[in-house]
Amino acid sequence: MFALEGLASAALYLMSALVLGSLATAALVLPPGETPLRERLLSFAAIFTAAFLLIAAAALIVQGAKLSGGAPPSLDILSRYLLKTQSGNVWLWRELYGALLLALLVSFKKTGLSERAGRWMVLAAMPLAASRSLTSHAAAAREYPLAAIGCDAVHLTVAALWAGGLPLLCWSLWRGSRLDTPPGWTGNLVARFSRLAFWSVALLVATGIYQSWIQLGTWSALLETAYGRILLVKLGLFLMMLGFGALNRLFTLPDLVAAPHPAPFPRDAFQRIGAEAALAVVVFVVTGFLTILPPGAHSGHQFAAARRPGALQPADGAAIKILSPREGETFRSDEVPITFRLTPGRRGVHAHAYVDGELMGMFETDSGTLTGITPGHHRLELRVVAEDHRTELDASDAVHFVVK
Amino acid sequence: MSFKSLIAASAIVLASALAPAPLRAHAYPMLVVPADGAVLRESPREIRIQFTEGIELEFSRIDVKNAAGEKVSAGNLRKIADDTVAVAVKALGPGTYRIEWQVLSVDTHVTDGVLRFTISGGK
Repeated sequence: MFALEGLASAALYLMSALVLGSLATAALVLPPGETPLRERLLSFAAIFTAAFLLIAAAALIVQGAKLSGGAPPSLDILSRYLLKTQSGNVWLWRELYGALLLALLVSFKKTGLSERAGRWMVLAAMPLAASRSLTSHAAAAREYPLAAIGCDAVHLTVAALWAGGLPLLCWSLWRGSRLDTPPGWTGNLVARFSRLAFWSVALLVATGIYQSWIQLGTWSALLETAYGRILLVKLGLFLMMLGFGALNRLFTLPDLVAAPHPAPFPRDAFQRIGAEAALAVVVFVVTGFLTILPPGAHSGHQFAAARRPGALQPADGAAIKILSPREGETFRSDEVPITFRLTPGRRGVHAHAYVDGELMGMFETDSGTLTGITPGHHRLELRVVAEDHRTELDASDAVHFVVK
Repeated sequence: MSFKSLIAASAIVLASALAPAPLRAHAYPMLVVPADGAVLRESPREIRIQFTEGIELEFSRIDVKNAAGEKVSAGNLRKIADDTVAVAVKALGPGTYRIEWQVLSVDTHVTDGVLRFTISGGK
C-alpha cells in the first residue's frame, strides 16, 4: 500500500507538471509562429491531462483501500469519502476541473491555439498542479495554514513550469532539428526556456526553504526522521539539477546561439538538457514518497510533549515529591511503577509524568504505572497540573532510573 | 557519470533513505485526557484527544472498551476543534480500559492506535 500510494502520488505530480510544462513550452517558450510544434504540444497537454485524470482515479481507489483497511473499497466508502471529507471534495472538484481543461484542450485542437489563448491556458492549467496543496502536509500545518498552502501552491506551480517543461524542451529540440527552422532558432528556444527556468527556480528555492522549515521543525529532524532523509535526497537531486541548469545556461546556451545555420542536431546540448530532465523525473518520484511520510515536525511526537520551558505557571503552594522509583533504581520490564506525594496548593489537581521530556501519562491518584518504557537510562519528571489539564505549575520533582 | 548510472544511484539513495525508516503515522495524539496510562479515582465523562493535525470526522472513531472488550463509549464522536475530538463514556467502574482510535487526517492519511487508562476506585 505504501509503495502504491507513493507511486500514485509521484505519477500525479509528474503528470500535472507535464500538462503545465507542455502548455508553457507551447505558449511561452516556443518562438512565435511555430504552429506545427505548438499543435503537437497542445496534443501532449491533452494526453497528459487525460493521464492525470486516470491516475487520480487510481489514487482514489488506493485512498479508498486505506479507508477499508486494505480491502478493495466499496461504493459507499468512496462516496462518503468524496462527499463528506475535505480531501474528497478537493479530489472531486479537481477531477471536474481537469475534465473541463481537457475539453478545452480538445476544442483548441480543432480551432487552433493562438499565442494569447495559449498563455491563458497556462494560467488555467496551474490549479491542476497547485490544488495538491489543499490535501498536502501544508493543509495540515498547525500555524498559518493559509500561508503554508499558498506557499506550497506556488512551489508546486513553479516546479511544474521548470521541471515539467524540461522534457518538452528536449522534445522541441529534437523535433525542431527535423524542421526547416530559421537561423538561431535553437538558441532562441533555449534562451526563452532559460528565462522561465530562472524565475521558476528563484521562487522554487524561496518557497522550498519555507516549506522545509515548517515541515521539519528542527535541524535534527533532517537526519533523524524518514521525512528529513528523503528531503535530503530531494535536495541533493535538486542541487544536481541546478548544476546541470547552470551548465546549460553558461555553456550550452552560448554554444547554441553561436551555432552556424543550418546547425546540425545539437547532440551535446540535448544530452545535457536531457540529464536535467531525467533528474526532474526522479525528483517527482522522491516528492511523491515525501508526501506520504509524516513531516519531520510530527515524527516521534506521541504526545505534544514539546511544552516549552518557561511555560510553567506559579506554583501557588503546590509541590510534588517522587517516592518511587528511587534515584538510580533499575527495572527489568517496560513497566515502571511510580508513587508520589502531591501537595495541591491553590490550583494543583493532578500530575503529568514526563520520561526524557516526553509526556507519558497523567495521574490523579498518588500512584500508577508507566508502560512501554524502552531499555536504557531515563529521567522521570512529575509536574503538578491545574484542573484544565493544560496549565502546568512550577512544582516538579525528578529522578533517574534504568530499564534493562 | 552516465544517465543510467545517475538514475540508478538516485534510486539506491532513495531506497536507503526509505529502508530504515519505520512508517509512522501523520496524525498523532498530542494531548489525551485522560492521558495514556493514567490512573483515575473515578470515571471520566468523556475521552478527548487532540491530534497533531486537523482531522476529518468522517472515517474517524474513538472506541473505549473494558477488559472484556465491551464497548463502553456512548454517542457519536464530536469534533471540538479542527484537531480535537471527544467521545462520551458511560459511568465506568474500577478496571483497565482501552481507547482504540482511528482518524483520517486532512492530508489524507489514516492512522490508528491504542491508549489505556485505569480507574482505581480507591482513594
